[in-house]
Amino acid sequence: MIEVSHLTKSYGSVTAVDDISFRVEAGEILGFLGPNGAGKTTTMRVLTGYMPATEGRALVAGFDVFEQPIEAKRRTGYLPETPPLYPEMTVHEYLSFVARIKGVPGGEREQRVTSSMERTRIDDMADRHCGKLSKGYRQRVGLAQAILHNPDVLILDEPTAGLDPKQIIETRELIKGLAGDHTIILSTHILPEVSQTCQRVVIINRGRVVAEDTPDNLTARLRGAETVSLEMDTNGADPTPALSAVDGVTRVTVTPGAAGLSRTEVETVQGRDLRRDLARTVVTNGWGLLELRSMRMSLEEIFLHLTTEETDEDEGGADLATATASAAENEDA
Amino acid sequence: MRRTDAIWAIAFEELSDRLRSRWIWTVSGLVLVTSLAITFLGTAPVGVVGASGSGAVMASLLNLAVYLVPLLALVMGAGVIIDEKRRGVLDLILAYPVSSSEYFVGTFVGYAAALSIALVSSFVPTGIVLSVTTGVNTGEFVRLLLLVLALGTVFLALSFLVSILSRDHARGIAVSVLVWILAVFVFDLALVGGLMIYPGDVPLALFGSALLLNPTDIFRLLAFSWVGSAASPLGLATVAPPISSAVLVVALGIWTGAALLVSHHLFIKRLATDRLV
Repeated sequence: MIEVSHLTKSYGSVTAVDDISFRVEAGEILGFLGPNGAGKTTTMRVLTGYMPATEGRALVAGFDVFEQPIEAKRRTGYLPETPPLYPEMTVHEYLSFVARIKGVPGGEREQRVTSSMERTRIDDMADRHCGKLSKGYRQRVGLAQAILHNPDVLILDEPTAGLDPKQIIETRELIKGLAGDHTIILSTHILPEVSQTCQRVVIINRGRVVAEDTPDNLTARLRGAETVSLEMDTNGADPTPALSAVDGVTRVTVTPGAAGLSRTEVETVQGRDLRRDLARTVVTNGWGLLELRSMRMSLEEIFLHLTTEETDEDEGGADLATATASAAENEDA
Repeated sequence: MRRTDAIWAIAFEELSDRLRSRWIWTVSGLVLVTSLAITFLGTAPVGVVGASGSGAVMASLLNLAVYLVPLLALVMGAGVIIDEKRRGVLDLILAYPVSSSEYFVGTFVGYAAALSIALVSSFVPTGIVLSVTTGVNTGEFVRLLLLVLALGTVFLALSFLVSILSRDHARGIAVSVLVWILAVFVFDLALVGGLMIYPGDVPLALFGSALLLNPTDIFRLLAFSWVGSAASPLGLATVAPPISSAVLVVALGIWTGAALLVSHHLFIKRLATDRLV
């Protein structure tokens, strides 16, 4: 549904987006992640037809954003980070204006406006002036204008920025509800939002794609080892020998606690789930097992890992082989 | 969807937005009060108070237009496009099925319509008073009004150029005032100064060509030609260079078109490089 190939955008000598490529399949929600200044907004602006690219190609629903911009825009809905509403207009007037400018035929306009208000649950605000709406409702009106012409593609830029926790949950639910009918690119730097909402993630840093995959695959690809955390009552005994003897365990780190309790982190080889074996070992030794959980690499850690490593690489530090390789694999795919 | 639909939608929105502004109605009211004052008190210095439809009143109205209309148009358009860019409206509108040129044209049409409504609201009541209370030539007043609208449109086009070049509303207003001072005061003073320094050496044709470099002077020359009663009291009808009305109209059109073309070109260029503001 969206295909970006070798897209580059330069401002004079500054390259904001540098040869990025990615695809988004129909009905998918893609998380577009990156630190501030990574090139997210520039990519969004190019995709929405706001500005031309220096090089490369972008297709939206089969239409080239640069060659057939009007056709591409007809199939795109865009929600900017802060939807610029007209304060003097009521919500209904504003959406009617948007419908007119988007070319919704006169006979369908009222139905489309009503339907988008219902889907975003702002129908009770139809006659309220946009200038008097709360931040949460402004965001919903922004979403309503984006889906008004029932576009194939939705580009959402930081849709939950500045919302309170309740509004964030409601907005995420709303976005999830839109998936399937629409293909969505969700630009954000709120990482839990991505893991809770998106099926796939593209991480960009300094204008380049550094990773593209599902959150789970990224976790698996980037972690060098699985880590399992155990809290046990060993009556003062050292659990290291018994746990190290489990096949697949590579390292055991014990942190003694009070009253015979200890917290132990067990690193295992990648790709094997040893939780059952570890639990059996604890029980066999007659220790009390208070907690056992797998410690997964969070998206925050992945994000930091990728974006920090690239910085280090530029400074002559660690290489980015893993991340760039994963991005390249996906581009090739 | 016809491409003109998007232009009209933008123009209508800009028009509504401008007409909601108190500022435009305040200035419009000021022009109305001043023009009515001229109508009733314009001949007070010669001992006559009351509506005295005469060339003097028309000449005063013409002068009022020369001073106030360019200022109104320039200040009205001082933040055009760049304010929308700052508010994020431009990013969103250009994400709609609208080209940047359609947005530009729609915005200009909306602003020009709003300015025209404001000017008509200011001058028409005065014209009605004049036609009811005096024997003013209605045709002449209508022609004066059309010229006023044309003058406003030229300076509105210039305000688009000023706004896009300035990249900032406050700076745009400062530059607009400078343009106004240059067009309304400095240019003519410089021209008169040149004539005084080289008396008799400046051919009338050259003098006439120089006047075409200033839209307010083109407006004056057209007014002398179309609104004869305004020219006589100013004593200028006889010294105005012999430039045909057609040439003057074309010159006004060129000013408007050139200002719009250059500002459109700059708009597209700066949009592509994200240097609008």
